[in-house]
Amino acid sequence: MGKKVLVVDDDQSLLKLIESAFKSKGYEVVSLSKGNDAMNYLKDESNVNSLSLLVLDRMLPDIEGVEILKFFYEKYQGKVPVIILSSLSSEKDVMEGLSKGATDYLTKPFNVEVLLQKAEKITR
Amino acid sequence: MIDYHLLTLFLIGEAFILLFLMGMIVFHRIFRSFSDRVIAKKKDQFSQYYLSLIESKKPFSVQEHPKVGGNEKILLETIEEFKQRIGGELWYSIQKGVVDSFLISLARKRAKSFFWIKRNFSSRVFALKAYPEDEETILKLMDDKKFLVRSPASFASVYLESQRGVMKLVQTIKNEYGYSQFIYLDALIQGSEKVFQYLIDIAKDPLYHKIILKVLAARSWGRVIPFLESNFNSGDPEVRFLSLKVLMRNPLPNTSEHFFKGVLEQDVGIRALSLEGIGAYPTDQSSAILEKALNDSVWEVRLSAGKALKRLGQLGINILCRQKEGVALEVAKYVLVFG
Repeated sequence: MGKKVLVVDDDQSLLKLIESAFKSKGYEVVSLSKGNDAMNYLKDESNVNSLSLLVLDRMLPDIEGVEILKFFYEKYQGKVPVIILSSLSSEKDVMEGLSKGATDYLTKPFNVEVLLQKAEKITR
Repeated sequence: MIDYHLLTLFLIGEAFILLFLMGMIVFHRIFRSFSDRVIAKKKDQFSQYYLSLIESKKPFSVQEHPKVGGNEKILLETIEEFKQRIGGELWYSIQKGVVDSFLISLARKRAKSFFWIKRNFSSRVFALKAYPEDEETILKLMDDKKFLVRSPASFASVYLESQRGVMKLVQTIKNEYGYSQFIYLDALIQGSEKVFQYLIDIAKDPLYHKIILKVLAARSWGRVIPFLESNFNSGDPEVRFLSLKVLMRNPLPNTSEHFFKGVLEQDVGIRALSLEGIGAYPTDQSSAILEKALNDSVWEVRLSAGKALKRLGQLGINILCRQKEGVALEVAKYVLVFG
């Protein structure tokens, strides 16, 4: 079975692009556009057990991506790597994301190929 | 005596005006929702095309592009939205293709328009892609009386690496106040190596020296800033303060020395900033200086020392935890909880 990735982003076009990029590399993709849905998905340990990677947008309309990250890291202790996507590019924001448990941090605008490369390395 | 006939006519007239206004509001709402749907549909059409190009890694082609047909503003908005999200060579080539094929000639025409909305369109297009022959137009747009025209034009001048544009921007930062300054600073911060060299040259003029320091302090340029060393001997505490800020992101071979010296300064801002800088050098000397600064007479300085200690990790946390009394204990407790 291929690697499974959960992508959470409220930007539908970007979500679709990331989804198809991952699919083209053989990943199984679960796409969610709401923070609450992502939270519910991640609360179920059986879902997390089958995940290889979480790609999380930092700014979601209903919950802050960082809150999801915090919950995820506290519950699963870095069991699954996380890549944060964000338009917040200051050093402070990047440091905050990494300190709360993200494995990597990509600032928008980003190159989808770079995201795939990072995902490939992290999930190897 | 009351003229009831005239009064009735007046009331009927008022009722008509009211009905007319209500009708206009209803019409406007219907028209608006219709036009919003048309705009969303067109945007979606453009977006789908660009997404398909990126997905299939195909180059831009004018023939395959959805018809623009007078929807240049929607096209511009779509491109701007993509620019916020997607990067990489492929996207930049698509963006260039769209601007060259559909937007730049219109932008050149609209730059001289009487209507600021049209001039704003021009500036925004130039901020996506501009050519050396557009430099004069962009410089004029930078002088526009509308901020929404001036600001995108400023970004355009930086992308174009226009020396005159950069100079104009620095002058504008000096002359404008408030929020707008940040937009111009932001434009300069995104500058290339060439823009960095212009800034270094402009900094020779004492009139603009502090402004340039503010710009340099906001980014790691990966170059040694030539005048920084001598700035620490300046008699102006603001120059020394700003130079320390630059040093935080653009180190010199003897960076730590400047921070250690800064701790002994009278100026509160310099002391606080120097302690923050010292926090990046985890040595016994740094820890001792930071611990001593927890007893500084100024809260801002004590707080900076406390935060720097916390950033040192377990060693710094142990120092904070061993504080027993007075202001040092107060700041240690604060930093351990909130810092």
